[in-house]
Amino acid sequence: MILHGRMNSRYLSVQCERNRKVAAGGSEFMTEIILPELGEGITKATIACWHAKVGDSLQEGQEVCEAVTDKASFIIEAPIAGKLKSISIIDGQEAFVGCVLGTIE
Amino acid sequence: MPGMESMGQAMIVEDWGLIKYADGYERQMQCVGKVAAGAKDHLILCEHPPAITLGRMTNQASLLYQPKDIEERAVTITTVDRGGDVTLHAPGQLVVYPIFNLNNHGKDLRIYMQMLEEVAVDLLKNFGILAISIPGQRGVFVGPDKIISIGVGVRKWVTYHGLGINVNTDLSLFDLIKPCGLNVRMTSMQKLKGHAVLIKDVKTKAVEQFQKYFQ
Repeated sequence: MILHGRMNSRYLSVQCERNRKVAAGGSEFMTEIILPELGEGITKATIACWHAKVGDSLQEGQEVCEAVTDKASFIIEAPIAGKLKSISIIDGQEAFVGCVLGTIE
Repeated sequence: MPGMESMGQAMIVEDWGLIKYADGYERQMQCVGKVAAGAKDHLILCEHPPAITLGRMTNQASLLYQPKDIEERAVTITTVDRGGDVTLHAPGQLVVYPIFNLNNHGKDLRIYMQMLEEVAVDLLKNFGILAISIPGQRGVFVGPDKIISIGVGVRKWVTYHGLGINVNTDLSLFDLIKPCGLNVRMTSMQKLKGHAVLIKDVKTKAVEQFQKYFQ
């Protein structure tokens, strides 16, 4: 699902906040996978694909998904070793910078 | 200058000559690993046999023929981890892969992409071609026609993929696709100048421009 427009930006923002609350409500040992700052003026990106599925064991630094913006594909890595607990933003969805894409526990 | 390697500069320049797309990708990844581990930036120059690559945002409608019909014309089709839609490589197109550590160049994808376009516009100026970048459309254009395609990948803030500069490319191959998913016509330096352009001259100027912008 690719979203566009002001209404959808508001939806994305709400969705991002909801993801954060869901993540915060989980285990205290949960770590969020965040869409990082990619550059000035880049506020969001599309998650092109996940390289891991929920339940997979991940090494720290392992590539977990790809974010695409402005004709650039950016590989996002696991911030810690652990098990991929959840995916919040699925393939084809947009996310704001700082948004929780998934969690690792 | 196949095999050329220039050391002692701020970046290592390698010319891989004509290399299969898949082999070139594998070598790019080796360079990305080295640069991520602390090696100098690498600037790779090469050409590919006819190859269509599908970026992460490819619309299937951008392929204008069935894949088997395309492959029967000895054009390979590969899905790749770069931004953007579909593009095509072929001999006569100078492909430039900057393997740069953006931790040392501002760590900003938008600025990096803009710099690639500026390098490309300046490069063409050396050959008397007045090109422009168009806001909202990555790549470089001469009038309404696209001459250079740009698409990048980034791992650990190290860049790969890059630019396809149509020097003497057989432009009829672009009839197989909607380049970058756009209804755009492709052009080449050869078409604009009315004669073939020495690709080694374009390589020399490309290296100069990259060294100027990314020192």
